[in-house]
Amino acid sequence: MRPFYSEPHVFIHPAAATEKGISDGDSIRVFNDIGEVTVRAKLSNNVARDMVVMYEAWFPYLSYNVQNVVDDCRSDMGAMKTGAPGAAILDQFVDIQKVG
Amino acid sequence: MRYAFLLDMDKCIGCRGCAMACKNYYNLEPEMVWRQVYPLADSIYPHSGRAFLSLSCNHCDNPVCVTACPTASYSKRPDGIVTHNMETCIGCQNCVRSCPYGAPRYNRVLGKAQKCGMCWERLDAGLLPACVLGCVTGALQIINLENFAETGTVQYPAGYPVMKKISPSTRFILPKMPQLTGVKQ
Repeated sequence: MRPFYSEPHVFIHPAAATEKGISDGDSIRVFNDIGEVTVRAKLSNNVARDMVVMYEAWFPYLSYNVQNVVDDCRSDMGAMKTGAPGAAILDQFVDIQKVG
Repeated sequence: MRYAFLLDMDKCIGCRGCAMACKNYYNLEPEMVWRQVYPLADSIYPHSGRAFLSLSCNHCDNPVCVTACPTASYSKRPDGIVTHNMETCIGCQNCVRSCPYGAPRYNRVLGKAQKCGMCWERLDAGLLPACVLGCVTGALQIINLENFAETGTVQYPAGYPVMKKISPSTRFILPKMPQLTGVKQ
């Protein structure tokens, strides 16, 4: 997939980016209590002002993994449906900060 | 028969499935692509990052690669497909420099040019090209320009080079802006 998606992005609403002093293409630290990832910012009005979006994907030679900021809480119906608790992958609260 | 690609930009979601299917089918080297997907600039389509041009070789009516090649490695078949012969290619890259659509690309590993041949070996066997099969929304199709009703399609969408003499065979259906339904505006 490298020729098509060479690196991961975090999609940020332009107004939210302005508030944080972030411009398109800046290196951004996305973090919460679970962990953090560093990705390039892509400003887009396709996301709401109080949301950021990161795609789940694999990128060679990069440490990026969206799971680093996802809290694997137990799913409520996993045991009944599959026999094992399973993880409920939900939206997460994160903060963003420009790097450097 | 005059084979051509038809891209319905209103259906394309920019997933790169077509480009990846092509890359898979021909086992291309990691950096090599014969088809690429380009998001349209906001100045062309204001709904940011939601319309795309999926482009490979346009199998032009008057292909410049055919005239630019010193070893006659390119030929235009009677059914419109422009093919490239890797056996006689010397890797001079005249085609890479001449094509305004950037279809021929230089393969550094093989030292030769390569490009999309519309999966002619599949079409000849009655199968669809890999990219068309890989398109999940049905946006990318094969048409026969001899009996194709061109109404509602364009040859040169915004963001795509206008080359009247070369006359690329690819046709496009332009993307429409999404409408909110059930909401008073």
